[in-house]
Amino acid sequence: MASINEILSIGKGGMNVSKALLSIAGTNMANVNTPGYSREVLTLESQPYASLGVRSSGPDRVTNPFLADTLRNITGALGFYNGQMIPLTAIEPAVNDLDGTGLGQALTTFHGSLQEATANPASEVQRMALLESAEFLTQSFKNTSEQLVDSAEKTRDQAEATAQHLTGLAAQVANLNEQIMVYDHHDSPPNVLKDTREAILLEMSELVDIDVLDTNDGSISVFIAGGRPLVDHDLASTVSITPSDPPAGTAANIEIRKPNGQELKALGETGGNLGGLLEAHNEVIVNSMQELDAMAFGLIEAFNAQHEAGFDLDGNAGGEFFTGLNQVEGAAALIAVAANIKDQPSRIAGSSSTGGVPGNNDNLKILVDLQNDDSVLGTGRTVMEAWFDIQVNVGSAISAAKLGANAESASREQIAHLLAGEVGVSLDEELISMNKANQAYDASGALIRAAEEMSDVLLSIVR
Amino acid sequence: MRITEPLVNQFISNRNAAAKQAVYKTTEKVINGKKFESIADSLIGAQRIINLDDSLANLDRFQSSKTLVESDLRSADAAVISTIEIMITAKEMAVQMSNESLNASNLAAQAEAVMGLKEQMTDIANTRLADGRYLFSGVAEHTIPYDAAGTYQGSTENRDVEIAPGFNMQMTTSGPEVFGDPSTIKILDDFAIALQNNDKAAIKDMLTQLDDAMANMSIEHTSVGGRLSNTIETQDILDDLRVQYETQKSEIQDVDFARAISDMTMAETSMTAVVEASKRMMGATALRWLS
Repeated sequence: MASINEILSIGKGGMNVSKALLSIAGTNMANVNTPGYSREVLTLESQPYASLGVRSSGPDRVTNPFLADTLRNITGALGFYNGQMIPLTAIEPAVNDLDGTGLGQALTTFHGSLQEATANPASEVQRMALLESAEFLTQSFKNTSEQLVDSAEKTRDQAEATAQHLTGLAAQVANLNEQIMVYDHHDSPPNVLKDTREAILLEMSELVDIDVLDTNDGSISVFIAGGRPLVDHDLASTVSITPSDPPAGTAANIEIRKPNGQELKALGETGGNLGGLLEAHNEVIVNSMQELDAMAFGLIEAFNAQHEAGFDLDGNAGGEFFTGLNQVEGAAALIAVAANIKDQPSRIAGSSSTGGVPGNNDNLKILVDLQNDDSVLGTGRTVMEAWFDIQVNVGSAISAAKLGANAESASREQIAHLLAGEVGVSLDEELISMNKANQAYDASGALIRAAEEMSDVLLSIVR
Repeated sequence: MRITEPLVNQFISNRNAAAKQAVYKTTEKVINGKKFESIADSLIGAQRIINLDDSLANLDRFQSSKTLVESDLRSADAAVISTIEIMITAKEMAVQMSNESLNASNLAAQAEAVMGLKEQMTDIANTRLADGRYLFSGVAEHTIPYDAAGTYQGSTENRDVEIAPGFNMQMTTSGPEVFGDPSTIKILDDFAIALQNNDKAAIKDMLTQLDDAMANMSIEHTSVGGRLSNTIETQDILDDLRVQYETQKSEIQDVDFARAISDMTMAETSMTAVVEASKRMMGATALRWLS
């Protein structure tokens, strides 16, 4: 049977636990809107001997490592598609013919002017119109090329900024690891450190795919790019973007530099925003630039060859119509109407023979037919089809990214709801818990008062 | 499942965002009148629209070429009719001048009239179009077709122009096709000389030459008329194609407004419902009773 002192001790313990419960309910309610906050719980159990009251342990964070890991994975996948969308939607206007502007329109106008010139090849007006449409075409090539090159540069800049941000987050995780390890050796670390670390991991997972490994000293290790270490205990690597081998600007990759200075290449997919940016850069923008250059180069070569086979209004053999580079790379940026034909419409070689000058249109008709010639580019595609291929490549990449983002967004929402349902704060629950703690506190107080009265009775007998 | 405040907040936030996005998208369609405006929204639809736009632009070019060809052929047709009228007059004069009773002074007086016909014929043969091109010099459009003696100086080569998809038309007409070889100018010149020289045999011989030239002109008139007729008829082809392309384009790209407005109204109703439900969900708390 318990003594009065033991009863007083039970009451005291009950009041302490109730106070702790009230404190935790208050903390949980105060942090109801704190991002990354996991609710705290106090674990109660009766003392080993029934008569000795209650004892508590904690507070502990409510966690669900499986859901947290799944959420990070899905966040990475969503980040990947969102990362792609940033540069792709930026270049879409440059390749979108549906708005009635751009290179496709310029190609159509140029071919139209050629077609009109076949009706009246001797007309200076028609020839001037043809030269003007050729100028428009070359300008459109340059504009499109500039927009693609500019987008590629901005995408690399964005990737570099993302890598720097990732490096900063890695340093924060390493710092938190260090603080948690110190606590772990002596006492449990404040839950806020782990909450903060968890929130950073989630932010990190949006930037790259991460694998997280818990260690027994309370720290975590983070791996990216197919197993490269980003955080190892209290040490963090740095991440940077490296240009590809020549030709420059054709690809960008990530590089991980360990704290000891060792440089590591990625072993696998990067994922996340950064992976999306790099994929959009390497697979879509750079490809589009290369295909545009091939288009411009093929057009220059084929058009000039045919133009040189004709005769101008003075009966002279045709010269170059377009000028550019004698190499594919950069051709779209430098295509121009040849100086010796610019402002000199009579030099357009529309006739197939000197005798046919000025009204013979046979060479112009062959030039018109180049529009539908699938041997011009050597790819089995006409110039217009090649341009459409570029549009489709960009469009399908955007479409795939949108679909992927929608799917991952729905999954992420579902998992986030599950996690929020498990680790989030319910004000109703906390209010109930608070009332329960209040009542238990009152009851414990009553117990102490009762024990005190019993003690007084005993003392009065003695007196 | 525990219903926590973060869960409720996330849920309400996401549902409101989705409802608002639906209102935005449906409203955007009604305002723009297009089902899609970027290639990413409909790869196949976009390809068809771009092809149709290209085809419509080509139709514009064909229309322009067809208008020019038709204009030239109308000019040629009118000119050929005029030349035939001149030849009929010349033929009547040749018949009259073949009369044995006419003396040298009668014939010499008529020679002046024939020279006038020759001048008219030369003017017609050297007709220039509004843009300065000669009508009957083949592809040598900057070269005057006939000199004073009636010798052809232009090109016998003509130019074909595509005036509808896959439909080429001979646009130019070379002088010899209409005026023969030797030219009717030369024949009229010879006729005038025969009259001046009182050369009865040559005058009689002129009847045959004038008949042959007229027959040639009639054939060429038929040819020019046929080309003109075919050119005019291509307008129907161009018009039909334009209607066909524009109809297809509209079916692919244009919004069905009745449906779009219905969708927009549904989205707005849905958003109102989401807002109302959100208010109730946020109010469903034990706070008012337990606090």
